[in-house]
Amino acid sequence: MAEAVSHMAEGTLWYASDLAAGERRLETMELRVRPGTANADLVRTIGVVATVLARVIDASPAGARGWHPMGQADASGFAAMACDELLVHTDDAARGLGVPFTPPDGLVRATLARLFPWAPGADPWPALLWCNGRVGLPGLARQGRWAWHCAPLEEWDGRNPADRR
Amino acid sequence: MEGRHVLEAAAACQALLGPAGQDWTRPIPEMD
Repeated sequence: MAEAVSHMAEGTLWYASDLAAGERRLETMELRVRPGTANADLVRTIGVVATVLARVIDASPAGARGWHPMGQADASGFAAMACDELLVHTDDAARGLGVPFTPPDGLVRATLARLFPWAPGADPWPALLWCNGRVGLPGLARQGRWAWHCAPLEEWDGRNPADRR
Repeated sequence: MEGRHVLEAAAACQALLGPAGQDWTRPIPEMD
């Protein structure tokens, strides 16, 4: 569980760095949560790195891009990737804990629309989990490979990029 | 999407994981 929370924190901070760095990949940094960090401190860390990313996003000039292996993302794309990671991995953790997780519906819809414009028209939360390869849906097998579109939506070619990978 | 969305997602995460006494040693069925 701690590894999952650390993964969320590290990814969120990476997104802030990558957006600030611009289109050339930043390979100089090692960003990691210290192993053995107490649970409460990990939870606090999630809030801190989310604040860092939020401020970088909101301060980014129009048209700013940052490197990501799935495409040169804009600020909106980084926001959506962070939301996707936070929501889906929180759901992973919830299943490990055996407790229900119901994310904010509007946030799920916004994340789906931004990153997965090919998403099926199912309920938004199951659809987002399907897009992340977590579940199958009626008539749709669970995806073994999945991908998002983090570059600006006007650059989307109309296909699920997982089909090309 | 904007910075406020990231804060909202983080708050949802913290709401689930924040309560004390959870057993974080339980395995997660899926981790990617």
